[in-house]
Amino acid sequence: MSALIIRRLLSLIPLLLLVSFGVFMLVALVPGDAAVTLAGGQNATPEKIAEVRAQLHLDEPLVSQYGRWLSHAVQGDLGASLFSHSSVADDIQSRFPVTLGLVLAALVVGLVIGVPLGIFSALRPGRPVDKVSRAGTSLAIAIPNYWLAIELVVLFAVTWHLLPASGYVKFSENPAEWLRHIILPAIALGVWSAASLARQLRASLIDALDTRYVRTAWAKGAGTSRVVLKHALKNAAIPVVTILGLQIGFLLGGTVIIEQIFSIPGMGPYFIRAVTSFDVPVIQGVAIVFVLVAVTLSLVVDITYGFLDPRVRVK
Amino acid sequence: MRATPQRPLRLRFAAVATALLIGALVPLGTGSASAAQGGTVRVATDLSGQATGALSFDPTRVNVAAAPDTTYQWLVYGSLLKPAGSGKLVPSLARSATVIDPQTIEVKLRDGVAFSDGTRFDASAVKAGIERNLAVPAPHPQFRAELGDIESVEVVDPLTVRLHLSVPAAAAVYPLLAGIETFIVSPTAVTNGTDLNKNPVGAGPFLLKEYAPEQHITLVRNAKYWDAKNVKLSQISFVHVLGGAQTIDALKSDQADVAALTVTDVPSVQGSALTVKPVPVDGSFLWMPLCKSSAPLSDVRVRQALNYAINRNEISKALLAGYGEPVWSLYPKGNQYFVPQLDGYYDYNPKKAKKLLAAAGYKSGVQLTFMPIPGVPLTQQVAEVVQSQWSKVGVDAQIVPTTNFVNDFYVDHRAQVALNPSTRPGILKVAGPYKKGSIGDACDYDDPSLDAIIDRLSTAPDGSPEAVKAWTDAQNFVMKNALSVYIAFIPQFLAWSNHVANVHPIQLSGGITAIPDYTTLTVRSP
Repeated sequence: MSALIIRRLLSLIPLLLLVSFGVFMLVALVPGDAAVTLAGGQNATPEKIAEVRAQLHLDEPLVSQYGRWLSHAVQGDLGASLFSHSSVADDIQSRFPVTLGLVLAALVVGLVIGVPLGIFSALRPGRPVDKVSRAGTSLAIAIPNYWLAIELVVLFAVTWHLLPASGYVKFSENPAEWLRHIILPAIALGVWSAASLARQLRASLIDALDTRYVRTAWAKGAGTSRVVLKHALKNAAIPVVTILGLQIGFLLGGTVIIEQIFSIPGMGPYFIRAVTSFDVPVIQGVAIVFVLVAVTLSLVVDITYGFLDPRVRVK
Repeated sequence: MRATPQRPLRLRFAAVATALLIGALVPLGTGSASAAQGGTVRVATDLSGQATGALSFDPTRVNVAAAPDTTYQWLVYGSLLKPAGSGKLVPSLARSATVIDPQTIEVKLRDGVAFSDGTRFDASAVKAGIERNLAVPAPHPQFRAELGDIESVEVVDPLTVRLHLSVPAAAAVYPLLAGIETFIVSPTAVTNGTDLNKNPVGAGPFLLKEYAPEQHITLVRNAKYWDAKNVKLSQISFVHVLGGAQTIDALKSDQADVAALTVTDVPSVQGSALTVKPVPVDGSFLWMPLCKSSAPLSDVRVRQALNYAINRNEISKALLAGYGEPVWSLYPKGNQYFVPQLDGYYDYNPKKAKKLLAAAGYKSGVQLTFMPIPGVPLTQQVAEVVQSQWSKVGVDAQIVPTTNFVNDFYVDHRAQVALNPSTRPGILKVAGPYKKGSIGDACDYDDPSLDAIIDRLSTAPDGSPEAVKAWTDAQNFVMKNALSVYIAFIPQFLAWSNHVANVHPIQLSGGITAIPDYTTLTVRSP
């Protein structure tokens, strides 16, 4: 297991280099630059633009600019925002927990809805409850999360005044207010996750319930809860864990638009503003963090297999 | 063979989860509405600005040009003069401000005014504050360049300061007395090394209580403010929303009491219980800069034809909810500098437009390249209407796409005509687009007679007969020579719920957004 972890960590190095270089070049290829905005937009003079460009080293060759960024990045310095001059690492440090909180809340929504739904469907395959469940999950997968977000706001905030339409309060400041502000975004983000989990769990649980050891358990007079939760679910969970690992990555991507809709100060609005204002150090920093998270999740999923399936550990 | 459950699994997990969710919703949800009461107004606003940084509460440490720092700093620091309606400035922390001569402005201060830390707000403090702002290396994102014209600040007596200018530009510097350029920080706080960005110490109507970036700002009433007895609010709570639909939702869901809206938001709130009022914002208009250095736009008749061929009222009705006042003069109606003689100057007249084109030698029509600014839905819609209206008089405007508007139009001149919303207050309305040296001067237009008028504008005291005359001449020149195609002033809107009253919109000097005057606003009792 430790060899696997070390191998995965080592593979991160070329991956991060490739991603950072690719992102840097892509941003450079997009027409426009931050210097014009920083120099005053329409009121800027060519001299002022040139001065700003020189200050930010934007007049240097691209490879040289990338080399400068990389030399700092390897020392843990992701640079500073071209606009606010604040440290990108500090900004990410303060924003990432916000996004992570939303992802975890969405995951809770996914698990709380998806797991029972998947189990009920698997226990009554082909019955009305299963048909309704399958139709519902198909719909939930098809619905875009931003549309659902808007509808939730209209219902729960604008019409019933139950929950805030937007905004954010830190968990450490006021857990109750954090919960009030995170419920709608978490549902908007987590419904898709719930539907995917339910469908995957239904399929794998039906297979597990059809095995000989489950039939033996039924024959020995074990109750449904015991058979499902103790015997079938653990084996059915292996493909679900894979889906779950992938879903965290998708949920992280989904936060970009959901945070924007609910005015949550996480990585999403930070990244969107950086892209629209050509704030290269921020774009680079966020991309690096997202790659790190994706690779870490993949590693966690692999490790989790070992706990769920002893055969993986033996191999 | 499929396994058949002997006993159905209970709905334990779902029931528990649902109960928890409902339990969390109901008790928490009911408490929010009452937060509006007790003298607190909740304002929905974008606290993020344009780029990626926190707001600043120190005038010298503002990071971004378009960020709304000025609003919050004004509430904390106050201003020597205060904007009132019709573009006029009225005394505030200063008792008066007088242009002594084109290079000298005298400011007389109120007696007995103090900063929130108890330091006296006197001539020495004003001198120290302005000199601190002057010491910031250019370019400062929000200080206007005219600040650099202040050569020295003289303390005449404890309640009088004189600003001595290096050039005769008193009229251009005068409006800075209501702007961020002359926000005065407590000299004691500066001496003590207080981090003014986090703990601002000013003499304004409110004190900063709490700031959580992109979450909220809480301000409380400053009991030491010179006019504290007339400030009714005990607290202002700015809550972060990212504009547009989110702002409307915040108002409709009772999460906020007041918010500024754009014209495209208005249809969504019409018919609701909210009060919506248009606020003409000086300097915010939709216009079409023209590259006048070569044919056909070097011919004034063609430029006039383009102006006559636009039905501004139709555009306003269709795309600006009927609120877009046509631009006939560079200032909207009601402003002290509006020129009544120019009212309706380019009223829609396609016949006259055709005649002018024919006289200019373009009887069979003319082709133009046309670049609307990208990313602004309103501009794209107006561009399509303009294209259609111009085609009726034989003008074929080919749209040139761009992803970098400023470079493509103003630097590389990739199109002859542009279309963009502009935010040009004061003298920038003419100095920006028509005086050589600024990127905003499309294709380096230059006319000595207009330059002479601009020089008069920069020396005439604000609101003086000389200023009115100079602005009249400037606007006559710009409009009659059709230097651009101006379409409509874009009003800002303030919307508020019935929780608040006495909402008087103001526009901060140099600001582009209307805000309610928080010193007069009141909250109704529950």
